Amino acid sequence: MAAIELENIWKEFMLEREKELTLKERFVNLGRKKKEEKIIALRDVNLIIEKGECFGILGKNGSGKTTLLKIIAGMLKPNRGLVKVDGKMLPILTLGLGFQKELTAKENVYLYGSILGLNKKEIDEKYERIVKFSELEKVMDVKLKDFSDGMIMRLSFSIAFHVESEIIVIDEILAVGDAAFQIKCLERIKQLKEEGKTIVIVLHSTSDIRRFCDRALILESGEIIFSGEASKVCEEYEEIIESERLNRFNGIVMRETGIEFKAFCEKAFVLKTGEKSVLEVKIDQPPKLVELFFQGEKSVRVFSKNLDNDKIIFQTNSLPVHPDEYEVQIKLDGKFLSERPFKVLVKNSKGSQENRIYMLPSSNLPFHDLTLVFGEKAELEAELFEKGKTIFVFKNLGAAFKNSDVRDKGEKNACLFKKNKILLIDNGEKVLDEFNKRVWYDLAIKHFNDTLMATRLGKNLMGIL
Amino acid sequence: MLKFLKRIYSSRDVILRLAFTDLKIKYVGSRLGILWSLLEPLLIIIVFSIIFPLVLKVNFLEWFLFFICGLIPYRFFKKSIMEMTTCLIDYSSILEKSRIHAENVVFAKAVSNSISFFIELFILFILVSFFVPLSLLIFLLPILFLINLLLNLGLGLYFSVLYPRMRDIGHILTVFFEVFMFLTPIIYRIEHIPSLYRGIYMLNPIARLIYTYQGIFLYSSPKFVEYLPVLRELLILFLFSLVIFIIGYKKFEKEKQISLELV
Repeated sequence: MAAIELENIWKEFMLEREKELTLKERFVNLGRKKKEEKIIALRDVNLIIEKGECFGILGKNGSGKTTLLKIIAGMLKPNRGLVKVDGKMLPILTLGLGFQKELTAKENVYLYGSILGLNKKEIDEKYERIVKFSELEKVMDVKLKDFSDGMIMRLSFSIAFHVESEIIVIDEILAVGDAAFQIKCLERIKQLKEEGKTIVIVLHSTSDIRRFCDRALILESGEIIFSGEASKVCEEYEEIIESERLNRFNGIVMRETGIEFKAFCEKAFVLKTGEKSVLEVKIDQPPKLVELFFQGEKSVRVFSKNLDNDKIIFQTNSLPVHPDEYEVQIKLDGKFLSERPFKVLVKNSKGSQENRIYMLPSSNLPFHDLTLVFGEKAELEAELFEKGKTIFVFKNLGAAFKNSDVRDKGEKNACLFKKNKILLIDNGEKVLDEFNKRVWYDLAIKHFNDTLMATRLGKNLMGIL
Repeated sequence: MLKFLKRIYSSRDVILRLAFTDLKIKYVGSRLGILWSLLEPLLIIIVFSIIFPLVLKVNFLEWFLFFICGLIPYRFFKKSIMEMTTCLIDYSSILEKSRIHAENVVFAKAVSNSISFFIELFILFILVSFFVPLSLLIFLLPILFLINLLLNLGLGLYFSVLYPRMRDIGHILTVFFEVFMFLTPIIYRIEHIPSLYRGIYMLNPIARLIYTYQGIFLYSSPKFVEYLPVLRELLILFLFSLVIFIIGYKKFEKEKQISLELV
């Protein structure tokens, strides 16, 4: 039998302002029609947690995490649904629950222990261990009001984790305390896991979930929107968070500039390589030439497009953009739509590998038709490149010309293009040598400066170079 | 019901611990400590003991002993119920985030109030024994106390689940207890009630309760016959308290889930 089974759990709460808490209110509201306003805290939650599993719960504030834990712990009864728990349960929803500052540390150990469900004898037995773990031997007879917050945390933590039980439910208690304390907490959780305990834990850091949990789920407004293997869930959660951040950022830019910029994909503004997602910009006057500048940490790209519509639509599955965070700027007929860039994040869709492309910046250069592609799937990238009408600008221009970056990394596979046609596919060094023969470094830089320094993008680029 | 009592018994450790904490918080940090709990009734007693004999022209000592024998049990009754009524809210932080059963905090309040009451009773006992020869009736005091506790618990359980939904119950109870004090024989003797109305008057169980306390302390006659009315009173009080307790328990079990979500 699984340690915890939840079947079709529904939980509703009455809204605070609808409550009538006094007789007076009831009297005043007599005869008035009651408005039934409810919040659904959990919506049809199904969950099975096996014995010995460490299960993580992710979600924003107010998404129903604590309610879920309370239902598991039996502290709340669901409106509908079935809860089955097999084994002794210890819920730790806050640390230092019921601590009294006027009592001594020792008295508080007994108080907190008994609140957690230990009887006096059990606490007597564990007392020594608890004190030793908390490293507070000398001050156990001091009143708690003279303790620092850190000491109180340490004490409560060491009590909580010395209560023996098969299932441990932990709310986001790790959000408090200093780094050393958090590490100690997590170490103890790991130890408990090794002892074969079932752990259900709410954590906000995806890296901790990755490290400690076998499986996890994401709650959003009372619903499980994603669950499964911890690493996958974390990836999903990170994307949600990133998407929200970008949404906020782009929202501000949109308000300030008055430009509508939308991304149609699973999570707004989180694009995935190779997967279909659409970027849309609304404009008043249909221009002839639209250029989209992607400026990221690793590379900078410009896409251009001719169109006669009041919407500019870029389908990103046809754009060979690399995983990175980009500032996006739109240029209409050679003029920037706004000074402030939007932001998008490009992530690798699963299984695909990152290629690196070095290309020359502008069609004004004499050798703009040369392109270098490095990476294991250079040929694939080349194919993509041949199809699209794109002009690329890249940040690592200098480094590419210096060659060292490429040589040190021992790039095995590389392509050299001329006018969208493959000139050479070979190992990195040979391709690079060929490339060098065709390019004069000084001239390139000079031209690069001249043509791009006029733009904001160029200034940025030169700043980095 | 049996399950309920078993649950109470099995969580006796946490109840005692909470009660102990409650007492300690109340009196710790002040220099006089637990004496503070006695200071308030003492002041009332002093004020009343000076004014009443002057106005009513009764024997000071006699009146004084009579008065404290009524006042102390009444204060126990009042304070227990007031504290139990609000205890679900007072302990909401603990109840919300742990698996403690709600009834445990109600019982903890009952225990902590009982302990204060013991101390007061002890002092009362000494005082009374100075002036009045105590009879064997004093051995009935523990039984009376238990009955009183049962009554307190019944009412406490009932009001505690009502309070989260109706917060003004607290105010209502305060006024009620102040008024009710004059419906119980604390500042006057039961003999002061005209015998015509005494039957109606004695329908008030609290009056009976206080009357029995006074009887136990102040019945100086050692005759066996005198025991009988007290025993009868005890039986009536016990049955009444039991009914109240069962009603309170039923109400509590029925509504504790809803109330807990409101705290």
